Amino acid sequence: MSHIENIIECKDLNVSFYIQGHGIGSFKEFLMSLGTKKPFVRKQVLFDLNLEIKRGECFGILGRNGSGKSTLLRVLSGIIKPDSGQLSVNGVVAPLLALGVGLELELTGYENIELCSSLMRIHPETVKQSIDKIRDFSELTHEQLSMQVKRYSSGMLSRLGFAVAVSYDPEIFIIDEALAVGDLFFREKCYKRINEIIASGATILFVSQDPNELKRICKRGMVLEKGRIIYTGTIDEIAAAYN
Amino acid sequence: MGIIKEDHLIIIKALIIKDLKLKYKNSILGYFWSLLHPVIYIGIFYVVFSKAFPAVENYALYILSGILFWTFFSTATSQMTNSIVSGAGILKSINIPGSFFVISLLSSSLINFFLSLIPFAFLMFFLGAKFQFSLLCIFPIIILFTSFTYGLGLMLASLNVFYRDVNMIWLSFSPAIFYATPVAYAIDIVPEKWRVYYKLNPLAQFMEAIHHVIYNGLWLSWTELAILLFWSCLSIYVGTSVYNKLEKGFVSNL
Repeated sequence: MSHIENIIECKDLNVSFYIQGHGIGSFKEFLMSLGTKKPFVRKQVLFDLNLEIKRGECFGILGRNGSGKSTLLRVLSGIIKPDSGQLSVNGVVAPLLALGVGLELELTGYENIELCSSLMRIHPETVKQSIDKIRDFSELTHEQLSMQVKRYSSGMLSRLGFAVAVSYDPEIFIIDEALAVGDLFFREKCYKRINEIIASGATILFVSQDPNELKRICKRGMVLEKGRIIYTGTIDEIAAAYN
Repeated sequence: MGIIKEDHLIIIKALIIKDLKLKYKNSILGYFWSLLHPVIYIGIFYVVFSKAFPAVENYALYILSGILFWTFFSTATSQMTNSIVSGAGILKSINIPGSFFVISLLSSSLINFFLSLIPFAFLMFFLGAKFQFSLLCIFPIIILFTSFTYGLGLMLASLNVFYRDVNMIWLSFSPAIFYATPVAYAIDIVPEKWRVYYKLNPLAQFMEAIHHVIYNGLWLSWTELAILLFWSCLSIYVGTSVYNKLEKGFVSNL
């Protein structure tokens, strides 16, 4: 088929949060008004998003703090459900790679590998076979992985988190500013692994505030501002639009 | 909750293992706490209340059967209340239903309960419980009691995401609920005219049934079973309704 398949498609996607109206005091107001005032207000975060990402593409998402990047990623991973619009994701999404989030501090490195892998729905047999690969990639020693994760430095945490997430060949891979940490050598290694993932045919969504970082691996991307897509195009075009 | 799939089982199993490991990490006595905790409780009650309620014959067996189930109920509910909140890091990065955290904590409490049941069962027989077929009634009671606890825990956990006061309220009212339930005393001391209202407390019904089977060594009647079934169904219905209504707002409020 000459038709190029879209792995992710959004049509007129609207996403909002329910947040407490005016802090905890709003509950008092709610009681006082006998239920007529709502204690939770709806705050729209993403507005009318239209997006098509092709299979095997490396797509960059550029935006300032609070522009809705993380929310968009969570919507694409299925963690947050949209209010309206259509969303189709035709592949398995790897978990969000925020720095060591999801790691259980009281457990050891090995226990965390097992836990996170299982949460990613990976079969225990596959996990067992991948442990050596994960240890090598994370550059953590057997001794370090036998330690409780709470004794890790932040760099070690993110190395472990990244190593787990990249080791199971996901179809859609999301990188959420994870490369900002770790030393230079580990960063290079991450880029190398990302390129391998791209070569294996996976789709990558790379989120950053820095256009130069996106340029290293993405060809196409978009700029997100205050919950709206203000520009979609080649990486040079969006870098210009962003500045 | 939909159909149970294999990958759901992988996730729940991993969460249960995590809960069990975390529970006794950094603790010297580890699992033995789940034996010590009820023993200490029972010791206190035996010393304090055997004078206050001399009417109850073989008081040690009476509180032992009650306290075991109460400990399961109170630890399970208080841990479940916090389960979704403490799963925030995972919930925000991987697509997993919040109810899995509640289910896994309930399961790990249940595993602990069964582990403590084995040594305590010996103690019960030593104290005079009779080994007979009517004791099998304890299994439907455990199933219904667990379901009741699940519904309640699911509701508390969902509400706690929005108002952390829920946890505080539950912790503060737990002792009150304990005294409003015939765990350590017999229902006879409740004045006749209050007993109708008293029995509206579902926990009182469960405790009565537990004492009935373990302490009195009697079969459970179909009516009693039907009442327990009613309460557990109601609890699950309310729990899942609250959960389904609030689930959408979890991630934005964690």
